Amino acid sequence: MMGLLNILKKLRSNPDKELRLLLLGLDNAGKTTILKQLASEDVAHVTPTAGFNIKSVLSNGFKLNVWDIGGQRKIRPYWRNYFENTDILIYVVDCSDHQRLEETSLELAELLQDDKLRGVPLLVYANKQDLATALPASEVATLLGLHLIRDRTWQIQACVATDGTGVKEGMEWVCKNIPIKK
Amino acid sequence: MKLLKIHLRYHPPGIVLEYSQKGVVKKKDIDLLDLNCNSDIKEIANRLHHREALLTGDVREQLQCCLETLKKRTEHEGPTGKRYYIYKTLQTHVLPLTNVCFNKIGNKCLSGSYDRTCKIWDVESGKELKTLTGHQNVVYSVGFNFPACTRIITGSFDKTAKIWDPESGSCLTTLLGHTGEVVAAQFSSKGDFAATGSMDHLAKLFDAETGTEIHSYAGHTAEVIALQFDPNEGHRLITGSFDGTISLWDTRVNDRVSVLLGHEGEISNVQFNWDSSLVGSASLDGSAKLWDARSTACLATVASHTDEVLDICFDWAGQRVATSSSDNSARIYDVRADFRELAIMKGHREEVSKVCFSPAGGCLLTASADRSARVWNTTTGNCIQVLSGHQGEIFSCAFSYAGDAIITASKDNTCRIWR
Repeated sequence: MMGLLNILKKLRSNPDKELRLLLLGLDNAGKTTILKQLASEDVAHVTPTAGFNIKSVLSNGFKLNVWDIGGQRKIRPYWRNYFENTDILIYVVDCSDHQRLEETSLELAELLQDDKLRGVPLLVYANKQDLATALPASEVATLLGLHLIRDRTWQIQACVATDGTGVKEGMEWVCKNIPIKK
Repeated sequence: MKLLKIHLRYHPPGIVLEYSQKGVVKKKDIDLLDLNCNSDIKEIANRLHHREALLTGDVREQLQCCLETLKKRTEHEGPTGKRYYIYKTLQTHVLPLTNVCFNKIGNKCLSGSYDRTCKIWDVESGKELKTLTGHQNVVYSVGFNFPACTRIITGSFDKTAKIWDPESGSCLTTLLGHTGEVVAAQFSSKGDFAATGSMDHLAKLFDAETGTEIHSYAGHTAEVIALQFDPNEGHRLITGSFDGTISLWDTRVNDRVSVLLGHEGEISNVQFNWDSSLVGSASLDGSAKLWDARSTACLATVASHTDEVLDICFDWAGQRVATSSSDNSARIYDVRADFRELAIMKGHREEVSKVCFSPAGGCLLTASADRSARVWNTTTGNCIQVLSGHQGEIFSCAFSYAGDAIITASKDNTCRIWR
């Protein structure tokens, strides 16, 4: 089911074994491509997301409702619309885009300060590792200041969204680090 | 008592008698729900003449003339009737749209959006008249106080609803108290109350003027995602919930009046018919049910859809009900007698999320995830027109009261007006 009703269904406080994953990051980071990889869909024709995409995927006995939110600058202020009931935050970084590493670092820092995302485990996908200019995941972790995070568990996963390398490994970490439901 | 004027009411067909009694001007509505292109006007006039003391012999000619006009109006639309063309594309929302609606005259429409605003549009020029800003999250539900249309109500994911003045665009009052997203909000028929449904499992009743909470309706065990006041008195309220039940409430008491049990899946929508004798409900269990609004007995279960039923809608005269489904079809049933299937509309390539009748009842409008909206002949089930052009799935659609305009809202961040 799609449509507005589906949005409401996905908005429900999640029953057991159903998780809400929020996929954020700058525009062109590869969020929609990762989403499509997770859903085993064709990743050849991905266009900039002007709003959001929702897909449900089954993984390790969990139903993951993944919300992929557009990352263009003008719509970033609306990211907060989607914070409610988030179980895992996934942040995607284009490791070859050196010029915007500072920008993405600032956006992430702001997310981590938000009250609604307090304590939510963080997975960072260090994407586009297939490109020659890509920084390795460890360097990206340092630039993002991940080692300074004290209030939540986090993980950084190198990946290539276009061919799926590393995407599955990230999801396995997600399923192992699911917060205990109240 | 002295008759002053006879007003025509097109949808649903009826007349309104304006008369004076001891110096006070009063109004009386007479429904003519059976009126159609085959009606014998003389016979109806005779019947009314016998029944209604106000309709004396002197006005018989005038009455017949009024009825002829009404009859013409119901004929006006049909299989050979109007075609709609894209008239304006409204595109200033920076994020997907949610719900839309027209005002009664059809010269203004509202759009809610993920960009946290509700916009008021001038239908004629396609210009944005006002942007209602103040909500802190998605504006999900939008509506006017029908028929006056002097106020706007919005329900938001920021857990509040707001009431606005459409002229100035200012927020008059904020309806507070919910602890979950407000996903349904409506004015009562007289405009004095506002009701809200929320993901926090509650429905609430507010004074529309002051914004004071009157009742908090507790009883549902899951999200309240649909609600409607009865169109007549405005004392009764129905709510549909993801808990699979429908509840009936009264604006004068806090306790639940009754619960309609029988669906085995989440409720997707719930509606009263025009005279509020029936309640129609659609469910993700794949069925739609019709209930007697007084006795709360289930009168019929229609289960011809092969997948989730996503929407339900009565025609304006309350004689037929339409449903739409994840099985890509829409269906129409007769609700007067045996609830038989009158038409089935197939053609959409993906789920049909919204359905509504044209005010005169000759057409059905459907919105689908296949990025098209379609107009169908309600008698034959044939597709009259495909409204295509949206780049994303269509979330909502509506007819104007006069039936001369259609509005569609899409995930592609635009809203289109068709005339």
